[in-house]
Amino acid sequence: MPDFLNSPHIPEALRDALRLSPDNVPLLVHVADTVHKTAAYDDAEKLFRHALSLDASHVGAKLGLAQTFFQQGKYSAALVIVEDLAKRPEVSARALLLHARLAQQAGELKLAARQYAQACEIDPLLGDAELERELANYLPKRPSPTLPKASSIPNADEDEQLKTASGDESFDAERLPGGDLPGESDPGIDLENPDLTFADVGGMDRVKEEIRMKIILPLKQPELFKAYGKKAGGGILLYGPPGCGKTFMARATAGEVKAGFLAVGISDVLDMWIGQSEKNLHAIFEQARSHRPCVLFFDEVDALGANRTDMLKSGGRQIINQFLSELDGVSSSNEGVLILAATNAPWHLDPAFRRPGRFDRIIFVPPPDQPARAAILRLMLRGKPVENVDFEAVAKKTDGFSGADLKALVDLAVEEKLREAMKAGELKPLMGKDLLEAAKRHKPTVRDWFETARNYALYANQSGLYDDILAHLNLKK
Amino acid sequence: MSVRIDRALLLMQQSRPADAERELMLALSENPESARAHAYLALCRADLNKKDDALKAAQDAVGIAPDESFGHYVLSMVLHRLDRDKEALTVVKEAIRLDPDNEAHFALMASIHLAVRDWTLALEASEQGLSLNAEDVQCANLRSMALVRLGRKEEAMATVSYALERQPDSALSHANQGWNCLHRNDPRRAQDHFREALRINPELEYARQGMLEALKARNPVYRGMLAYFLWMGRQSGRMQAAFIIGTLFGGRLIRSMAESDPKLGMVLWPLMVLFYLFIYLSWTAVPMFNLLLRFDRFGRLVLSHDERVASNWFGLCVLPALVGLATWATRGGFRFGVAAAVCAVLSICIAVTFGRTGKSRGIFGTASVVMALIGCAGVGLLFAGLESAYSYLTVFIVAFLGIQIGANFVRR
Repeated sequence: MPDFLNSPHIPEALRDALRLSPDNVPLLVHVADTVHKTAAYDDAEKLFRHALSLDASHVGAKLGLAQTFFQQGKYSAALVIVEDLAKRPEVSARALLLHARLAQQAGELKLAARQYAQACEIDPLLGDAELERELANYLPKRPSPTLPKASSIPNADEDEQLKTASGDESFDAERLPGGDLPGESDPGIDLENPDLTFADVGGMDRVKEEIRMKIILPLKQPELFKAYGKKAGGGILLYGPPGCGKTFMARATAGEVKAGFLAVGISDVLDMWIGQSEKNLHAIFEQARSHRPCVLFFDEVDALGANRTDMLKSGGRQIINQFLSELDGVSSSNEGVLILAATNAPWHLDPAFRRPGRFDRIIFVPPPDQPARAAILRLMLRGKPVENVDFEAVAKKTDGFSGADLKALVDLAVEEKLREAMKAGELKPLMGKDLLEAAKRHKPTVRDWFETARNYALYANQSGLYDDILAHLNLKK
Repeated sequence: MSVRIDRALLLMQQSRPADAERELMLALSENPESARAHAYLALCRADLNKKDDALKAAQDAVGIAPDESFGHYVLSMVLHRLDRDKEALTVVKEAIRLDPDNEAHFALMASIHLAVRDWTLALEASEQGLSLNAEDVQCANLRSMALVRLGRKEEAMATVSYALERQPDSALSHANQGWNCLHRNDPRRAQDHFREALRINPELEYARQGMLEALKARNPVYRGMLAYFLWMGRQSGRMQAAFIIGTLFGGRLIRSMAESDPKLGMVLWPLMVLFYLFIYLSWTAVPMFNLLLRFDRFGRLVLSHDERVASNWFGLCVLPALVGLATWATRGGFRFGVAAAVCAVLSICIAVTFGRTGKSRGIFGTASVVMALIGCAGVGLLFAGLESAYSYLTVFIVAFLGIQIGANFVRR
């Protein structure tokens, strides 16, 4: 009998059964599930593998192995199995839920939301509040038992209701006629109505101010801007290290102006490249124009607007040219369409995008400073049991941490607290020292980015584009 | 080809190896037998510095399709990056056997020959590549690198000029022309080329190092030392060893002549001082002039973090050495001279340590710390007037000889 069948995590009765019937696959899977529940993932993995060596097509064993991989942090291996399971017609809710978790882990929130919704449809009891919160912006809205807030977002279908409910006449007046394409021309990007506002974004005051001036005020006071011949709309490019809130900020901007939000991610962009479908890009812009006012957000825009000299070999220049002409509003006006884009690598973006009228405001989104870190931590711990947390002290000890790093720090501290709570059998509040302890264990992830950015700021900054990086790094040329 | 592989290729072109790796993993989950996906995965992982995983993926690519040249080419490239150049050469020869009309294979072979310091074969391989595609910028650059090491500097310059005419925005070509200018002792023109190379690709380490050398070469002393370093770099391993041993014995011969004949000594002793200064500089010129560059407005920004740390430690040793030397020269006192010598020796240890990476840096670093403790103890006891000082100083000298011998054998 293999060693792992003698694992101490296998209950005695099951071990006896295994001794009598070592090649019984359903029994092996049951034993592996039992071991998995005791968190002995290495042993569970061996048991699932053993079961699969006897019956390679056993779905339960495959799913169990994928779940074990997930728990062990072997996300790629888990994904490979789960994607195979998810393709089957008789896919189980558990497989879909695991797929959603893996997709969320990989940052593919849309896919995660789709799989999660399908999993809940099959088995509503599988709901995961934490995951649901993470995917809130991508999941279909459920009817809420509470009355909508006055600041809730207008939806194309709910326009009429809102006009009367909010009584916001100036907002009504600034509504612009829709574009010339009917709603059916949806290229597959879902229009969202984010609940977030600037109040949900900790720090970033300079960025908020720029966006307010460029985007929000022209929409709220159109007469003033019209008097100076300025149109509402245009583009802002946010750049900075990963995990510092660029995407979050874009979503909050849409929430702040009560506009629809169309997010174009790298996955959509890649499909455009492969399909050479300039039409898709045009359709996205048309979709935004037909839902004015609308924030059209391009995440990782360098994937779409890569420096044309870099892309010579791929023969994909047409899509860049198409993107440029859409930004210019050659065929239809972009008035009322606010184009936001984010990138971690502005140096890979074609310089043509920086011309006035396109992304004519380029804003550096640095990692949060000390007051911003304190504000972010306060926001993150809102609603969680906390006691004696000196946010300023924690913020002081987390120099160089990005928003994502702070989230990781809170997660680490919470996990530790959960472990203690499980041992003690009672809920213990999160304390300042827990966060400080977690801060020691987590290293900031933005250093590599700044190493690269430093080189671009030093050697390729002829236009002064990266002066903000030089100032942030305290470098004087 | 799978859409996922198309997407991965696009991501690789956009310098997103991590995203490309993910797409390739998904492509392999759909078709585990795709040799192309394994090969691209190897390239992505090599870019991500996952060396062992890259090697395994490349081996898988060759295992699945041993008759496809691309897999062999990628495997050779990964082996080359792992500094396993002998194996890389064997594998790239197989790629050439399968597809002798691909200039990229010859470019890789030239690059491997350059890494093993076989300039003539590197030149041959790059010229074979150029015979297949006369406009291949990579082969032209490799040809130039081989030519300059063979001492054919004018031809090297002309080759890169030709490459720059074909592709004016090639950072590699500008960096190569910069190095060619340095080989021709023209640091000013070199700076222009390095600046352009860094403007095009600020992450090109080859250009940053060139810029650093060009900035330091504004100092005539360093310019002389750089000319020596570049000359040594062009020589074969045997020639280098012969030169070092020759200078060692030559130095001893001159010294004995100066000691035996006082009249000759009048001329030979200053020569000996210059000789020892040259030997000292051959060890320490890099951190010493990096230290001086710290006072230059632009130069201090070009230095990497590691170079700044090395110059700090070097300054920490060389400053007391200079103070000790000045005190010894003005007030006399043997003890000050010994203290200065100990600090100067430690500055060499610092240069040796920071001239290496990885494990060997750890070994030399530890040895340097031990030597510093012994040396400081010896100097302290000497100032206290205790005889035991000499025992410590003797151990210090023996350890230094050991470090010198080790430094000549342990790879950088």
